[in-house]
Amino acid sequence: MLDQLSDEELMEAYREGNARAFECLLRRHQRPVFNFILRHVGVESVAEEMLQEVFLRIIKGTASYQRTAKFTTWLYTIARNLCVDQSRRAKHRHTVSLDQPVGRGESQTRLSDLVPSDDPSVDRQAIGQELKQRLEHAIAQLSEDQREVFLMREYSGLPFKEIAEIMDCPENTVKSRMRYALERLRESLQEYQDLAAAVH
Amino acid sequence: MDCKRVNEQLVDFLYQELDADQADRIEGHLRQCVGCADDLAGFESTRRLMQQLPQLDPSSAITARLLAEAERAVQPESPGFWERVRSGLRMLVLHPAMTAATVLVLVLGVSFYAYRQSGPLSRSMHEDLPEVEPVAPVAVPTVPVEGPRPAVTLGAGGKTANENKKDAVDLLTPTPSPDGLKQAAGAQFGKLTTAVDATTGSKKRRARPRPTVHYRKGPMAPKNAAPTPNEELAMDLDRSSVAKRRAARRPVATTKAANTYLTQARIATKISNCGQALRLYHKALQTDPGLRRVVGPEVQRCVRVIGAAGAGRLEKAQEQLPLLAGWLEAEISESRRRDQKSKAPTAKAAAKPSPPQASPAKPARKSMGKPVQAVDAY
Repeated sequence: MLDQLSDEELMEAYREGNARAFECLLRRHQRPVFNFILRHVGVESVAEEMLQEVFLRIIKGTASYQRTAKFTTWLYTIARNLCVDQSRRAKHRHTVSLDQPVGRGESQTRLSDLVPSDDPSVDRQAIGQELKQRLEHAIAQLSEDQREVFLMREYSGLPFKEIAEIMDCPENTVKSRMRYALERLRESLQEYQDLAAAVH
Repeated sequence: MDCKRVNEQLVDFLYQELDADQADRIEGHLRQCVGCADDLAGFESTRRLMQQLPQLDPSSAITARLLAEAERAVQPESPGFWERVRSGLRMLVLHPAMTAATVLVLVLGVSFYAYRQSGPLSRSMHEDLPEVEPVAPVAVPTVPVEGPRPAVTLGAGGKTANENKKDAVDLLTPTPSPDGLKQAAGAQFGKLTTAVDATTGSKKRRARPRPTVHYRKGPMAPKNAAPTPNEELAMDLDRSSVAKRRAARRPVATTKAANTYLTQARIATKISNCGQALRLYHKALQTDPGLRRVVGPEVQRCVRVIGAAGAGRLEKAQEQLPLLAGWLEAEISESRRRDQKSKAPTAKAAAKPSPPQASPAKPARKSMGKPVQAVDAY
């Protein structure tokens, strides 16, 4: 019954005291929001803390929620602001990323490749694991603006107009960022295009 | 449609955000333009690759914590103290009738509390009460069963109300019964009784300039009638009757010293130390002559006990206790007459009045020591 309602209707129901409505909202959005945050910060535990903070802010702001505003716009605005804050803090830290290439010259070896894996079926999953790492690396290579647009459109399914509202910029700018993001990803994953064709 | 226009809308076409007409036009261009078609194919293959990236789920602990928090947030919280006060005030403002009722209750409550704390109503209010005419005192029965209860009018004895209240409290028995408390309250707030009498049309009593003890009119116990053993037992068994008797005999003097003497005298009487009792009654009368009517029967009993042993001690007491001279003189003459009759016993002795032991006090005291007989008789 509640699953049939829109986000805004669920939010209204929760504001009137129906905790099940919030549960429905959480089940509907926690996964894309979590992945959006995770692709930003790269660390799962930090992403979980930030996800919790996002929904806690939603709970606290329930009373002031206006139905005229789209729920996802509100939700991703909070998530994006937290990601931006996290990025600013991370810039002041001297940490070494596992995705950072090690050595000199044209070596593509990364630190994560040198860390022994505990996974027993490494050989079997080697290809899939490599593809996953390459995809993550390709996303990480995008600029922050391009990555935000790509993640929100590709994984969260938000339309460009709503992304423009969240990022507070013109819709054409969002589309332009999306196009640049796709072109850059295509270049990064050129060697996997055959695999993509096979998947298709 | 040219390639530039198509490139501008290619992303929209890719994510199906164009309307049907625009989408048809672009599809038509893509069928003719290989470059634009390659661009679209590259984007589509990239998207397919990116879909291979697994989507992770947050831990279930996060979900459970958020659900618990969400449930707690919508639960109605019990209002705090100030919130309750605020809502109460808001209700009072919104409901004038309730406000008026609350104010009335508060005023009545405060007035009653002040009344309880400061004794009778204020002096000005007391003076406004109807004057009370004196009532002829009624002899106190030895054992008042349902008898009269002293209604005392206070307030003109030069003592404050709090002092009177303290006196009454001092003389209360260790475990005063409700009736005893009622009696004390009556002594404290005698004017209430007066006011009730005035409203019910009973005979008005004029307050005397000094504290006076008198008895309210009402059903009286038969004068000089000794209670039967059954009656005594009933009284003994009936705690309220005992309390009534105690209340009836409670000192009602206006000064603490007089009350103290009176209490001590009664204790001395109880332990048969009649000589000491007479001295204490004398001191009580010296302190408060108004007690004469109250102590009269009690002094008379003590005098009879002493007189039973001879007139000598009575004569000595008459010299030392001038305020008891009247009672002593009567008993002295009686004692002498008994002495003469005992010296010359004749057949006329049967016609003489009964000895003092036959006074109403004696059987009452004896009966207290014989409850078994009384129970049988009862």
